[in-house]
Amino acid sequence: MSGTVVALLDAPSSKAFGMAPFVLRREDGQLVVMGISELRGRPLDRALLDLRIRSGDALEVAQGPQVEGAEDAVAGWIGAQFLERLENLGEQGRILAAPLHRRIGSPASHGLGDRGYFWITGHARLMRELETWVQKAGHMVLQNVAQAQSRDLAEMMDWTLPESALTQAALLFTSCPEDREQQLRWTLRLRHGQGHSLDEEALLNELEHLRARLSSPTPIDDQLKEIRQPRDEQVYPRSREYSPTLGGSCYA
Amino acid sequence: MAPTADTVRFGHAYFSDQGREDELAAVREALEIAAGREALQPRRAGNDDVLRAEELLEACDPRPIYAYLGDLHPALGKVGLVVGRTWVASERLQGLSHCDSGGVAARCAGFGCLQENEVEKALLELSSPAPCDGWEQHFGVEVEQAYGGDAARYVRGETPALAALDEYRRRFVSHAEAQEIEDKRRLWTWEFRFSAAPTQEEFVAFVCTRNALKELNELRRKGWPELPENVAILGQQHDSLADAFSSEHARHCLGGEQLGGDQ
Repeated sequence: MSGTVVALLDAPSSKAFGMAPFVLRREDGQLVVMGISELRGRPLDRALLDLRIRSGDALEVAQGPQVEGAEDAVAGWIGAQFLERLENLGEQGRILAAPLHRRIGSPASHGLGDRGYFWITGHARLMRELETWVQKAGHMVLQNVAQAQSRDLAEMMDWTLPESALTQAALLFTSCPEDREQQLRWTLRLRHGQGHSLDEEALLNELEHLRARLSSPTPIDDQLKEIRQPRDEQVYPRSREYSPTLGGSCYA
Repeated sequence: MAPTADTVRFGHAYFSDQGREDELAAVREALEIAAGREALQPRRAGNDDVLRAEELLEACDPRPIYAYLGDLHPALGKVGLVVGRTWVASERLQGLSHCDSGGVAARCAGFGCLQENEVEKALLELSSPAPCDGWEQHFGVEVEQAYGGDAARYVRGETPALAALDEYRRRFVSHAEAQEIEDKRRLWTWEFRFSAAPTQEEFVAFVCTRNALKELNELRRKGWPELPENVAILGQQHDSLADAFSSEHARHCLGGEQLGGDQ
């Protein structure tokens, strides 16, 4: 299905790194929902979209890109505040910001005012990007939980993949001791909401185990080298991105 | 416990009028409501058809709070609030319709088979003002005849057996099928209109996407109170509202099932 991106649904925050469904205007003028959604491919009433934009639940995209929306196409999202916060976290922040800068510098990315940047990609591929980022941030946090910026990084992992066990471990072990019990209980509630039936002790064991495994010396340095690439290097060559003009799949 | 007509709960999809100016508004306001610190208020009408339906049903003073029995409509909010059946008690029920009253007034999509001069009659025949005595029995019979008594099928939004529906809704469904309209659920999902908000104890679940969970976690870090323990947090691993609202856990909860863990 081809068309022009006119809105992002479920408005992602300027503080977040993640994804969102999007709305495509087909050549016949019909609006359809795209993205990882049960509503995928369904028509969307213009008045309803306008209502969602007015209420802040959708972000309007002016002069959006033309895309060929593949089955699992989704909008990737990097919030402007997320990027800014990362850059204020010293060397580690700059390392973690590097792939994000390359992403938003690519021709496939589009700015949405001071809110953030989006691009159209495949869901599985984007999940891998998010997981890789969280993994790298998680290594940094769990190797230095007492470091000042580790708490900030843990919170940014939460703004990326809050349900990741690595994020939950990072948040728990960077909490101040008096808040730790409450953080553990909150994590347990979220796990229960996902249908997990573990108890507090089992959850703590799981997160302790994760911390022990990741806080020991690991090939993290190699991973860091891997992402220490010059900012102008295109990690994702243009040919692997969606092509607005070639009419192929929107992502490699 | 399998859901029955007697256990199906109410769904209210919440969004904020302030969301455009304040990113966290919808989640923060929904949190305040589910925590019992603020009362759920009638929302601004999305279009004139809703107001017209309210006028025809004499349900505009005060404007009602809408909820669907067994459904969270993803087009209507950012956070889904699931509310227990006791909401209908204590004279808070203003009225009900056996489908989406605003859709009837608008004659949109599956309701498009109605002629303009049929709207008022259809709305009145498909609706009841409070106290709506006997509605539970009526709903039970409909679930029995339309779904063989399996309320989970109603909650999943399956098309009911037409013979179980009244003449108007049979027309709506037939029209929608002839027009290949996919979103048919509003043609038979029961709509409830309330004159007052649920109490905190009546909230059962807070259904949100991963993006909304990020905001909820941020609010928690900023010192907002946590959701009370009686409110489960569901849907959070989904990236789209539609998927979160129709997730297995949300549907189980809407069906009236007790969930594991903190329930």
